[in-house]
Amino acid sequence: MNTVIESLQQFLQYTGFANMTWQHIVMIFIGIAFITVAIKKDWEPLLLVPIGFGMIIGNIPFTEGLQIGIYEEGSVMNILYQGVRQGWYPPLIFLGIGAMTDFSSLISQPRLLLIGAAAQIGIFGAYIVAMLLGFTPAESGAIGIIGGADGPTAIFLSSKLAPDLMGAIAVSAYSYMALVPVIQRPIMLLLTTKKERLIRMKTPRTVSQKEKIIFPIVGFILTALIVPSGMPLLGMLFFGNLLKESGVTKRLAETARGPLIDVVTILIGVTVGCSTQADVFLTATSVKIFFLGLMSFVIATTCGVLFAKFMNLFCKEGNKINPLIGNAGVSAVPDAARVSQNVGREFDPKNHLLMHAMAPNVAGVIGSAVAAGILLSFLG
Amino acid sequence: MNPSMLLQVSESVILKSAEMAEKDPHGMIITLVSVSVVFLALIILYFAYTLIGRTVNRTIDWKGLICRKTQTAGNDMPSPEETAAIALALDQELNGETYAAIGVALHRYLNDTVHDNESYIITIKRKKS
Repeated sequence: MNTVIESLQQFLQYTGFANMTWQHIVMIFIGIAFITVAIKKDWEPLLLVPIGFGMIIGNIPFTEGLQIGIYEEGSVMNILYQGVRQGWYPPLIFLGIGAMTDFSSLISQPRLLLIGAAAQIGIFGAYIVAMLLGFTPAESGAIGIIGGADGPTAIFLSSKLAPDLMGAIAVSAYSYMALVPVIQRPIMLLLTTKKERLIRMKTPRTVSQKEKIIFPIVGFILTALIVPSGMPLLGMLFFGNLLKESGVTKRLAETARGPLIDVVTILIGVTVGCSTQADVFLTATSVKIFFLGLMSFVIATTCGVLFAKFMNLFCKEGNKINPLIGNAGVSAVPDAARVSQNVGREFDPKNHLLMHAMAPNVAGVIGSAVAAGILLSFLG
Repeated sequence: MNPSMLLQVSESVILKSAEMAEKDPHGMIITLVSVSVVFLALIILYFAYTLIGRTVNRTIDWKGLICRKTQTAGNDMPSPEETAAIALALDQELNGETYAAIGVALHRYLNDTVHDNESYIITIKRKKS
C-alpha cells in the first residue's frame, strides 16, 4: 500500500500541476488571447494561431531530463527550433513571399521605392532609443528591426544578434503586424490634410513579362552586391519571384507559395511561440522590447507618410502621390497596403489606392531585408 | 537545460558589439550610415528599373507591339485599381477560390492576355488569285 502511495506521490511531482507557477499561467493566458484575437478579429490568423498555441505548449511545466522541452538538446521541439535558431526558416518564407508577390506596381512606378526606403528609418530610430535604454548595439539592432514590420526578417536578425531576446522580438513583431490597421490609421490621419487624402494617382502603366523576368535578376544582383550579408533573404525573395514570373516553373512557384510556405509558417509559429517560456519571456526586458517595437512602427509609418509628402514637393500636378500610401512603406504585405486603400476610400469611395500602395509595400520588403543585412554586417 | 546555454551569442557578435559600443555609444553613426545605404540601394534600383522600363518599352514600341488596351479598351471597363479593389473586397467576404479566380482574371486582364495584340500597321498585299 505504501509503495502505491509513494508511486502516486512521485507521479504527482512530475505533473504540470505540481510545477506550475503564476508566470506559466500568465503565459498560457497570453497564448489563449493570441488565438482568440486571431479567430475573433481575423488578425494575422496564420501566424497568431500557431504562435498562440506554441506559447501554451512551451509553458506547460515539466521535469527536466525527459528530452521534451524546446531548450533540451535532442528533443523534437529542439530539433524543429533549430530552423529558427540557425535562421533556416526566414529565407524559406521569403522564397514563398517572392513566389506570391506581384511586383508589377513597383516596376511601373519605381519612384515609390523611395517611400519603402524612408519607412526603414523606424528601424534605426528604435535602434538609437534602445541604445539609450542600455541595450548593447547587437541587441538594439535586433530590437530595431521590429520596425521593418517583417516577422521573418526580425527572426533572422535576432537569431544572429540576440538569440536570447528572439522570443520577445518575434512575438512583438507579429503582434504589431496584426495591429497594423489600429496603429497606422491615426498617424495617417494626423499627418495628412483632407486635400492630400483626395489626391488621385495616375493609373500605372502595363508591365510586360520581359520586365517582370528582368526585375528579380537585376534586383538581386544590385542589392546583394551592395549588402552581401542580406543575401539569404534577398536571394530567396527574388528567386521566388523569378519562379513565379518566368512562366516555365509553375510547379515550383506553386510549391513555394503554397505547401512550402505553409509548412514553414507552421513550424516557425509553433516553435517561436514555444520558445517564450515564462522564465525567459516574462521579464522587464520584454516590456521594453514591446515598447520599442511600438515606437519603431510609429516612426516607420510617420517617415513613410512624411516622405510621400516631401516627394510631392517635386512632383508636377497630375503626377502627385497620395500620402496615404506612405504607411505602406513598412513591409507588412499586404496589410499595410490594405490600410491605405481603406483609409483612402473613407474620404473618396472611388479612389482606389491599393495598387499604388503595393509598390512601397513590396519596396518595404526589399528595404527591410537590406537594413537587416547592413545591421548584420556591422554587428554580426 | 538552462535556456541561456542554448541562446548564447557568437563570439564575433560580442566583439563587434563591444567595439561598436565604444566607437558609437549613441548609435548615431551606424544610423546615418545605414539609412544612407538603404536609400542608396533603393535609389540604384529606382534608376535601374526606370532604365529597364524605358529600354524594354522602346524595344516593344519599335516592334509595333505595345498595347495599352487596358487603359483604352473602353470607358465602360473598370480601371485596374477598381478591379484590384473588387478583388480585395471579395477576398474579405468570400472564400479563397473566388479570390483565386478573380486574381487570375485580374492578372490576365492587366497583362492584356485576354485580348489579341494588334500591331496597328496596315499593309496592303497583293493577293494571288
